[in-house]
Amino acid sequence: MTHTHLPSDELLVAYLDDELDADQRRLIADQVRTQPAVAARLEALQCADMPYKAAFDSLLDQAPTERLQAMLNTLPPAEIPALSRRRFLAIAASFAVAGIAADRLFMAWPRAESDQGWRASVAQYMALYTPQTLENLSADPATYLAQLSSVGAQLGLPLSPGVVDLPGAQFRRAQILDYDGVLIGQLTYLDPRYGPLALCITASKRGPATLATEQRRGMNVVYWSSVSHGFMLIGRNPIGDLQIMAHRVEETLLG
Amino acid sequence: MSQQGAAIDREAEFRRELGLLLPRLWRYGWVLSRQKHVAEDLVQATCVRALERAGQFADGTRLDRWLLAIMHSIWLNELRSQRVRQGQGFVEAEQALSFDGESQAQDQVLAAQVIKRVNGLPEAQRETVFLAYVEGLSYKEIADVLHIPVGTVMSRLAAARARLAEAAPAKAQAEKSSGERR
Repeated sequence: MTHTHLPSDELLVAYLDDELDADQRRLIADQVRTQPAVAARLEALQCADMPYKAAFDSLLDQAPTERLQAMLNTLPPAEIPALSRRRFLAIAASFAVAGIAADRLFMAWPRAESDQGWRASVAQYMALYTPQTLENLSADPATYLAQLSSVGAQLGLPLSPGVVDLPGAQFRRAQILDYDGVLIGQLTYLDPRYGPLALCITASKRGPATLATEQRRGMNVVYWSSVSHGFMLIGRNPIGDLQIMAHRVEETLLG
Repeated sequence: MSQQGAAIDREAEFRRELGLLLPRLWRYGWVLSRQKHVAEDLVQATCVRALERAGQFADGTRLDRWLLAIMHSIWLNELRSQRVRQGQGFVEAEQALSFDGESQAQDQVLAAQVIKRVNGLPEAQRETVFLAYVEGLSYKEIADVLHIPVGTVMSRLAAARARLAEAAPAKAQAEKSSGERR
């Protein structure tokens, strides 16, 4: 007695993965034995067996384990009183920053190095930030100065606190993100009214372009470029606010 | 007093176990995001939430499964983006692996090929394959971590296998016996 219909791929894969109950398993085993078409399909699906575990285990060595462990050590006890939650998140965030400061952030850069591509990546990263992420970062002017001059040097721009001051927003950090060798300066701010805000800069030879606006991931974006650099401002501030800030940056960097 | 002491011991134990799982959490974060820095942020967010909810962790359940579920939920609710979810612009596996030393080069090339193939899958299939064939979770455990029915786990794995089998090089077919599950 042969069955006339083939079992689904789902059943065959579950059979390969040993996830069927005894009855189903017997049924499939019979079909595999008696029907060449079923055996052939099973074999085809089996071709997908690769050394997955060994391959992905090689990634474990690349985990920044020491940094992660140090991060974990800074997290406060499990039973957290409601009042200290804000401080707790702030400590966690500031730690992440300290860890990151040690080396450049390496990021995956989408294949299309289009103008769009870098803005999409920045938006994706910005979506990670909550006000708590930035709340308690060091407010030490010397640190800011050092961060800005380092980022500025890598981008070929004279960055200083005066140049990157944005009305209404508090500067929090400057760092370089590295997308497969494409450097993006990320200057992060906290706006008490609207939350995290960032001014991002990358070297670009596309030539000057005037301010344009768009929305990404629920945030407003204003972007423009100079002869040598592309800029974007991203945050939850109204577009009008961002345009005023953008004009300010444009002017101070030119002047 | 002694109750407090016990709570502190329990806390220390929880932290110690969490610490042991950090590399695996980072790896899952990398599989989800395919970006190292996002993986790191995901681990941190997962640890923060795990400690907040430590009281909800039920004895007798597996901490690693519980943490994978937390990370999945953070990724899905807070970090997903159209670009990533559509599977565009994925990271070349070679960029994710640092090659050092000639002796292991061949293993690493194979590892890189396997990772690249898995990376080429749509996100839903990718993470299901990872949880099943790398983390070794049962279908039921995967369904719990991802909050989906077991039937969906089955269809994702079937679709993923069909796709991976098409792309499988002859060499992988010849060596398939080493990777078989019985």
